[in-house]
Amino acid sequence: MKRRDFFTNSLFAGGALTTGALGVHCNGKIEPKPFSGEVAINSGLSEPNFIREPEREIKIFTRTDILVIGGGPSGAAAAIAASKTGADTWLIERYNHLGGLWTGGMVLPLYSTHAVDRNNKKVQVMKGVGNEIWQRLKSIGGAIYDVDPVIDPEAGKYVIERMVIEAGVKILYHTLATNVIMSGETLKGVFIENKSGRSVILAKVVIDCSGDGDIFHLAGENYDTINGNIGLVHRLGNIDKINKKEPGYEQFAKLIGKDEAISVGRETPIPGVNWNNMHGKDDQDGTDALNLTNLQIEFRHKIWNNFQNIKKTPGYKDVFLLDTASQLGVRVSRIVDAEYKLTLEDTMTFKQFDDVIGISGAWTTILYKGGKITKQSRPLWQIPLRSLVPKKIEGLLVAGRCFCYEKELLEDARIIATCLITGQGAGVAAGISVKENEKTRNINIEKLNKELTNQNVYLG
Amino acid sequence: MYILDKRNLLRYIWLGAVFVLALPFNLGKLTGLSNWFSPFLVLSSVIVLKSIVILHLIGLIILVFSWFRSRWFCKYLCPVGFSFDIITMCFPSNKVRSFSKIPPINKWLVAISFGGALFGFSLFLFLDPLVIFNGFFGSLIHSFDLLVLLTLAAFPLLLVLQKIAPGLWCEKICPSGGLQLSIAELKKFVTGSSSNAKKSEAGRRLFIGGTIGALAAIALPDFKKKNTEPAIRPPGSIESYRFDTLCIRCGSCIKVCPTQILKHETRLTIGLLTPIISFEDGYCLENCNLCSSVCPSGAITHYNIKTKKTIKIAQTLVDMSNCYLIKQKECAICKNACHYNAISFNGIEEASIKMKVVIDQQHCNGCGACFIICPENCFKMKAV
Ligand SMILES: Cc1cc2nc3c(=O)[nH]c(=O)nc-3n(C[C@H](O)[C@H](O)[C@H](O)COP(=O)(O)OP(=O)(O)OC[C@H]3O[C@@H](n4cnc5c(N)ncnc54)[C@H](O)[C@@H]3O)c2cc1C
Ligand code: SF4
Ligand code: SF4
Repeated sequence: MKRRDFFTNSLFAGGALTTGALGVHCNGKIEPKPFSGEVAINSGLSEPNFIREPEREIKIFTRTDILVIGGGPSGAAAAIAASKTGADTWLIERYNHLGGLWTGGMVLPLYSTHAVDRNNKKVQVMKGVGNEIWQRLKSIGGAIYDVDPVIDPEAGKYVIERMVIEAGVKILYHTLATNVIMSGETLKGVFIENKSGRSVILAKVVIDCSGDGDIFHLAGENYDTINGNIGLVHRLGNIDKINKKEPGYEQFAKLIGKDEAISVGRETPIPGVNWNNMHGKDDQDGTDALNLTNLQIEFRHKIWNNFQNIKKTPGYKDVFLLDTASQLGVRVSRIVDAEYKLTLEDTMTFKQFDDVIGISGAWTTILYKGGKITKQSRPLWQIPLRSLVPKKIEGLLVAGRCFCYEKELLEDARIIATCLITGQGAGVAAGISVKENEKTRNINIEKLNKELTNQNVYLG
Repeated sequence: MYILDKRNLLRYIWLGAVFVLALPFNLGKLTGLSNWFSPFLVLSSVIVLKSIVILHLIGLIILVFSWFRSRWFCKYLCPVGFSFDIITMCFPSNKVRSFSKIPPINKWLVAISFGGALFGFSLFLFLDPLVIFNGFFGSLIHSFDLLVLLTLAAFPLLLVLQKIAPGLWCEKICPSGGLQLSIAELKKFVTGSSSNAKKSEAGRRLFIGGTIGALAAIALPDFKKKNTEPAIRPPGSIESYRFDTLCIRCGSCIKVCPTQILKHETRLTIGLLTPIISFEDGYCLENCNLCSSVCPSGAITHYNIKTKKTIKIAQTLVDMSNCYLIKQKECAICKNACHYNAISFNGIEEASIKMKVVIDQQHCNGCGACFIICPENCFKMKAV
């Protein structure tokens, strides 16, 4: 808390004059300032494990209405939706592409575009931005299947980037959000770091689409931590050249039984190219850099071994390792404490919310805890804005795999369509909040509803 | 007899209550509560279990009552007896029958049952009037199996018997009546007002009946240990071979189960009509112990919900051939559904990137959550 107050004070006292003159965009280089902090001496410790960073002035990179952190499915949808409401919108992303785990993580299947309605009829629930991305990908051969499509990652990166730019969003790649600027419990902006050094973006509303909830974590909001499986996806080429008639193949297949030992993955829109999912290890902390590094090394090794085994298989000699994903596949980490925790029971019982921001479905048979259990194809379910509004922090919305739901809903809430839907919902809500100059938790529900409908979101 | 005298009014109210409690209404802990009012049932389950739970006190107190007021239970609490009275009122008959030539079957049943109870199997609990009454209303809930319908038949058959031979059941057969008569006998014995002939008859009955019961209790479980595959029992059940004989088939557990996974055993074994678990409709909830708290016989022993994770219900096995993990699809549904953190994913081989589902049998209590939720039906549940 102390540290945050310090940031706030220095910024609003010292920064007001300088920043005012900077205008909205500042692409200038941030002046270097050599570090001259002294190592703090903690009387109890002979070897202190920290240093105290000296006070210094940080340039304001820009001021904007809405700042989206993270360019995954949720971040891209949020930025597009926010910009469409007329708000000035910036999107920052630490890598060099949009789409997050969907493209850079090469988790290519987009679940769950369809779900079952009250009349047990299968309907398409993912409309709006998500559907637009899908349809554009389809039209250029970047997506296969009519339900739960599988996309080509490069086509995905391209299409999403085009759409974000067309919507008028300003993108900043190669940039990591590293800290927050608070005024009490209100988020005022974030510190970013990139090749240009450290700077600040001030925003009226920040949307945390970082997947891991970096922003609400830094801002001091409460959250649950779930440690899940972390994996690294890779792609293989020349799958179409596999010759199962080659002498020795049958014997080999019998030996390993149902091709269990090697795995060549599943098809993608590019003929001959397969993507290979990986569950990796159980219960891993996705926010610990050292752990992520170790996993990265271990997984690369495993993938290479798998690839070697594939090549040794009779008939598989032409198969090659096309690439490993540039984003390590963290499935879940922090789950924000929002005004409402969406439950599995809600999703099984067609629970209605007046502040619905979209509808998702899921791809699983399902467990319902309310004393009863049903096993059936999954009904569609509403997601309320309340589940995206953090309990205490103002000026912040959360979308994507870290919005607020109970653990039982994890497999359904973190899938890509849900991320696209929560992203678009958060973007629209942030836009209205800026336009009406109203706190995100108090925005007019009718206006929210109207704007979502305008943007073709399916609300049931 | 007037239909609405004071005693009858109370009996009407009680009958109504027993009737409601017997219905499969999901009344929670109240389901089949009236069973605990049966002195015969409660006494034999105390003898079998050699332990006592609070609810047992109801029956025991009623037993003490019948020491002071002969057949107090029959007069005030027996729903079958009261149904008989109603039959008699509706179809009055002038025939007066005497059953004095018929031996006291009821007292024999009591002697045999308690003799068996000492060795873990009291044989004639299922003839208790409360069990028959409750079983009648419990039988229809889940399955319409012919055998299940048998329990449905018992109560109507008694009514027919009452019409043909009024009083025969109450005076000579019902073991609950038998217990109360035996108590009266004991009282006479204690107060010294019984004749020597009566004393020696009672002693002989107790000895011979008790021995028969004891021998049966020892022999029967072995006899029925046949080739049928063991069934999965409700959590907290005692060993299977004693379960079949201790369970009185009252159906309370089947009525009370919120997820309706308890069904009647319909295979023709000695365990016919006992409760078994079928995980097709759901799993055994982590925060529920209702079946154990309504079981009046002690076949399902009462346990604290906090200890549920240590109560093994079934053994869970997994067959990976259809699992999404093997097909490289995204899925961890079973892992998230497991409330006991018993499921982990492990490489199928040291170096493999493919995973398999591993069940930690130490932590798995066999609740069946993974079984019901897996979209590819990868799990199998086996009796332990
Ligand atoms: C191995 C694996 C397989 C999966 N399989 C499927 C599947 O088959 N179908 C399906 O629908 N879903 C699947 N998922 C889930 C789905 O891919 C993700 O949950 C979804 O992509 C999450 O979207 P998001 O926008 O919330 O976050 P992400 O996709 O994680 O995107 C977050 C983005 O924010 C950026 N970022 C993070 N922190 C910062 C920061 N501090 N500053 C700047 N940028 C930041 C990241 O670089 C990233 O681009 C899978 C996930 C994994 C890991
Ligand atoms: S739920 Fe079934 S298909 Fe999914 S991981 Fe578990 S065993 Fe495999
Ligand atoms: S049966 Fe399945 S869900 Fe239940 S404890 Fe065992 S592994 Fe977990």
